[in-house]
Amino acid sequence: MHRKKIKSSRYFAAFFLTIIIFLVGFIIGEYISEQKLQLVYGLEQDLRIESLGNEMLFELVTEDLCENINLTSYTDEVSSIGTKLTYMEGIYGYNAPQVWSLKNYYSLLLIRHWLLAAEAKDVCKIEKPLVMYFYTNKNCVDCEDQGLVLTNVHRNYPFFYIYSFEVALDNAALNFLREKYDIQEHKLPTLVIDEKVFYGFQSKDFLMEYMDLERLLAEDKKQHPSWYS
Amino acid sequence: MYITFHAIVIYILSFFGLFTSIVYFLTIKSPDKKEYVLDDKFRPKVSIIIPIWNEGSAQGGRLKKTVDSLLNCDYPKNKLEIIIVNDGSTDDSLKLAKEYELFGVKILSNKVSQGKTIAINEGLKHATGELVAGLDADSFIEADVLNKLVPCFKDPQVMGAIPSIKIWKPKTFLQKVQFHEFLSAVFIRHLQSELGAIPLAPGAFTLVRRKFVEEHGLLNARTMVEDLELSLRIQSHNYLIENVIDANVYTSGVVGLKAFVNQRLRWFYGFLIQIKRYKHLFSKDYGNLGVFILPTAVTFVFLTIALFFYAIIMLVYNATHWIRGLYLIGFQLPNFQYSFDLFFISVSNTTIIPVILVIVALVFVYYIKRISGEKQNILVPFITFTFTYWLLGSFCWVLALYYYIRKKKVKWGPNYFSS
Repeated sequence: MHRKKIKSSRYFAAFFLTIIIFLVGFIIGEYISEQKLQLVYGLEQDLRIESLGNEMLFELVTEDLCENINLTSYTDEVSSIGTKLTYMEGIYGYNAPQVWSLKNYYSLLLIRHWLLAAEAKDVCKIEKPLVMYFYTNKNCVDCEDQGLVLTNVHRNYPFFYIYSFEVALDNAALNFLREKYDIQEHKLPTLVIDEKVFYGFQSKDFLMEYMDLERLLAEDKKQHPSWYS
Repeated sequence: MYITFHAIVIYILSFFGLFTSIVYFLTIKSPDKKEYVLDDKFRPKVSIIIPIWNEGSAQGGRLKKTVDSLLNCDYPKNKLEIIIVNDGSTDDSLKLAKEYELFGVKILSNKVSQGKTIAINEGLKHATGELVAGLDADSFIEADVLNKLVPCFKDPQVMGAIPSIKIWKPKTFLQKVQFHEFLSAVFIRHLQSELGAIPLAPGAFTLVRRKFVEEHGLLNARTMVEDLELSLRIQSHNYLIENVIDANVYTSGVVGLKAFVNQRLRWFYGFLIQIKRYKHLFSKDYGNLGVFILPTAVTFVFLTIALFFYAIIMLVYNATHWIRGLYLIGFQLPNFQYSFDLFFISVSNTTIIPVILVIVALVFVYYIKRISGEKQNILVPFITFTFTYWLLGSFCWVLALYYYIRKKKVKWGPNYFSS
């Protein structure tokens, strides 16, 4: 009987090569994720300029404001950034500081949009509801469900605006809103529909009925037939 | 860094997969591989044993194809002994077999069937060849197989030599799955042989030195995987088993799903039992077999079982989640409108490493094709069948582990073919 040789050098080489491949994978993954965050940051900067432009429009245009103001493209961009941030949170995790700061800034942009839309609604007598949605992505099953329902309702009735705020974010404007509407963690999800506050999960049927969405949709279709063709 | 349980699962599987793949990559083209050249002066006598059970005319001449392939092989006729052992067949098998007596084939017959292993052992007792092999009645050999296998025995340390066992003209889906399963096994055995550490020499036409079975015992009839047991026994005496990749033996593969599952259940359950029995082989005293091949085989089994359960849990969780979501939105079908955005192409740590692993697997497929001499395109079917095999194979592993833990008896019926 002879003892067989062990190819130790081969196993060490394989082990180190595996480590190197893992490291390269990590570095590339981190680099690309970082690039994506930079991209979101850039988008937020662009949005800031557009938002400022809209604000100035309110100051400059005294006549026919309701005909001149257009929040549609601004809304699309806000929504696109929101989707991207949710995606990045999925990659980096809920507590990741990189995503957190972008989310904070994003919430400010949302509040600014809400202020503009509220003013436009008031001045131009727009009937479409403005919905603020307070949630957290940390241990809140109802929030997950509410997000799903809101996304679906908005898909069917795209003419009204929804503003989603992660309650754990910390900035002066959001803190003010949280205090104003008595938003607390155990009351999540919370919806504020045109200043009326609803605590806890709200079903699709309730939302459609409360906001009278079918009637508003019919009217919107009459006003803007090209949007629905 | 943000690490989820899902990421940990992916990292563990990827690390294991990459490490073993790289070891095998470094093994391909090993400079240590011995070359065995055909030598006219080295022609030891070879005995081939064909156990048969109900291989009569109803089987459509399978036995004829098997015996003819042996009679027509290139090995000198005076150095070839063919023994057919009729294991209590209840049809006209014996009559068919006896027709070959004219060609010098020896016929042995048991009145009552005692199982394939005992039938082969019966043949071994009567064999006079220096080298012996078993051949199932659903298999046949290419003419040059013996000329390619026999030279390995010039090295006195070599106790066994394995040909490449392939599925002959697969027709059904399940046979195609087996075709790729066998092809992968051919490739893996080729790599294991480069490491001098083959843990399993399949029963189909593995040539063994008769001296070994005489000194260390015949096939173990109490185990359901007598070929694995014999291989581990050879390894536990630190002898060598060689693999000759271009020596082709063909078999037909099982037909029904039940037979397919049963066969694997028998193999896998038998593997668990024999690994426990031969646990002393997990040692550096047994070279690469002890430090790499057996530990990775066991790790592979447990990762396969864990992955199977994880995949099922994830499937149930996601399906429940999806149905709940549908319920909340009044079962409105999802919107399939999709706008392409490069941003959402997932390039993160948990995707890059598995992608590298897939690339490694594709390179392996290329090698399998190259070294096994397969002419047909195997890439696309390989992916399809590997996936099917993963599902069925994992299920069989789970079942085998269940039987093993519960110490249940596996009923596998007459294990006559492709074992």
